[in-house]
Amino acid sequence: MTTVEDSHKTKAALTLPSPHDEEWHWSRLNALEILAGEEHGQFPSPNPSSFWSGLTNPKLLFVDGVYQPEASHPGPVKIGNVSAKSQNPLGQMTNGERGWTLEIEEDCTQPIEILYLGSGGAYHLPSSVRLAKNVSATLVETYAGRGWGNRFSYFDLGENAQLQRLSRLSCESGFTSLIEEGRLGENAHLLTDWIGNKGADSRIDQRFDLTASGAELMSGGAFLAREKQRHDIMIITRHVAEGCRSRQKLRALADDESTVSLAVRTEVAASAQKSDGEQSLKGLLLSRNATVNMKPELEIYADDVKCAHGAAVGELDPQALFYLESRGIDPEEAKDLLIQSFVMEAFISTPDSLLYSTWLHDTEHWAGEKE
Amino acid sequence: MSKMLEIRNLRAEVDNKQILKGLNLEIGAGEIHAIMGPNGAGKSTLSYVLSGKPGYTVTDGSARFMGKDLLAMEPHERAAAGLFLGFQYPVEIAGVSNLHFLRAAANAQRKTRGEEELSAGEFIKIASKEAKALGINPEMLKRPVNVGFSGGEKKRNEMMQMAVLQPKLAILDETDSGLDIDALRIVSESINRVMRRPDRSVLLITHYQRLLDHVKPDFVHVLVKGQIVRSGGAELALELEREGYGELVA
Repeated sequence: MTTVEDSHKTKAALTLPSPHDEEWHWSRLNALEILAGEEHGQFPSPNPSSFWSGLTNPKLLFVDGVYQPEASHPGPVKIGNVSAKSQNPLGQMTNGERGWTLEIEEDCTQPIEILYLGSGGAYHLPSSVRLAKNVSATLVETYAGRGWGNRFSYFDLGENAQLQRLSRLSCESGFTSLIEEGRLGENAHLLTDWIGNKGADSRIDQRFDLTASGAELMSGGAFLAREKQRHDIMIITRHVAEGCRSRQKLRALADDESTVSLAVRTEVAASAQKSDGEQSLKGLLLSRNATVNMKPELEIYADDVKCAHGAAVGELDPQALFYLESRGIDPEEAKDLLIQSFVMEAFISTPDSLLYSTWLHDTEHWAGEKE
Repeated sequence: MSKMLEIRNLRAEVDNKQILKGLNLEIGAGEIHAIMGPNGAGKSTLSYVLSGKPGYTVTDGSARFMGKDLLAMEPHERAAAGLFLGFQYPVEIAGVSNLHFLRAAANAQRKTRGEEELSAGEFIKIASKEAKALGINPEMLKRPVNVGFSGGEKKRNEMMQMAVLQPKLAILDETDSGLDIDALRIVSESINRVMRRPDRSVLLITHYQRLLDHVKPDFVHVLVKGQIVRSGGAELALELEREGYGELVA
């Protein structure tokens, strides 16, 4: 477990990137120094039961980055050191910290739920998921409470393995940073859905090199921001082997004076013939003072590929609003339905699953919290 | 016969351009009225003004719906009061299933009227029955509203909504456009089945006699330059089909 002093030390040593270094609209990370300097336990930890599904399945609870065995049913998940290391400045802060590992050789039929609660201060927590050949699993991770939760996730999927995962950014305040890296085997599938529906700022850095043929990386996300909240999402996918597929479907919904920045870069190496890539970025502005920044980038060196990108930012469609109202739906409910419709487009995993119902719940929860 | 809709000297503008210029119309309960007229005469504007579309400003006149001041109501209140607009170009709403949308609409109207909301089970029964009557594949109910629907499917979906919502007055704006012969027959049957009742009325906006072969109007009106310039029975539509608008637009 990292102490506050350790956090300060590590951060000072790493020197987090500034907007100047990154040359884009990313949020200034120096505010994290304040969060890192705060004590744990400043705020009451939320009740875990409000975040769990009703299923009898593996459930793990971490409070301020510390595993809570008495409140967990870890199933196949092990607690301990994580050998994978990140080169990302934020990811490096988790190197050497205790985290969790999931290594499975057979299909895991029940979804695994992991809940991270924060009571203030900072925690840095690494994890590693390794799925053997032909194995499939489902993972739901929820970040709730307050403070800075800094997570590094490493994924190692064997041939034909499939992992579907949902990350819920549900902290009331503070900052959640997710660094996601890994290796996908031949024809392996990693499907990720993120939903940011509460008050904390966030930053997601996902970077994968698709080095085995037929690997598929699908990433969907809906980031709902209000007041002065900021969400920064950066996805870099490098197609290296032949016949790989990647999709990024991200939706930004910005109200009040919030800012959501989405940057997606897909690089297709000369060796990555038959690559299939698609970037779909959409932003919905609910206020004239809100900002959505988008940067879809394709860098293609192979000549037999199918790659597309699209980005659009707009306001709620007045025609659609009137259509709903003309059927008797009041303006507020009509607006909520359109927001839901916008957000649901980003869901990328299997419908009729725990992931889907949770996603739907979180979307409705955001709508329901409005004034 | 009691009055369903009374429009007096209605004037309305869009983007500061006067479109309706003193329109008068009365529709009694149980009546079907057809409005015909050349392009740009104000037919769709009339439908939008009556249903309360933003951007359409009423500058003078009145419209009373079942005795109430229609123009004082919000669009959703007009729908709850029993007004239904069948859109010429139904809007696509990705991410919301037809069933979810329809149930939200039906229950919103019931709530506004102070009635008990329908449970999911009750609603599915009603929706499935109406879908069957319209030859709509039940799978279409699960699809996002109008997304990927053909022109004919969209119009049938409008009729499905009308059948589920059971309005008092349906304003159907070129519901026959984009329909093949079979779809036209099915849609017409739906209008007759749902709306041909003593306590319900229809205002059909159309360019063609072919819809009126299936849905017999009690009255036909010709709208030109924002005013009704001639009214008659069903035979007027036949005359217009034969001779065109001719001197009426001069």
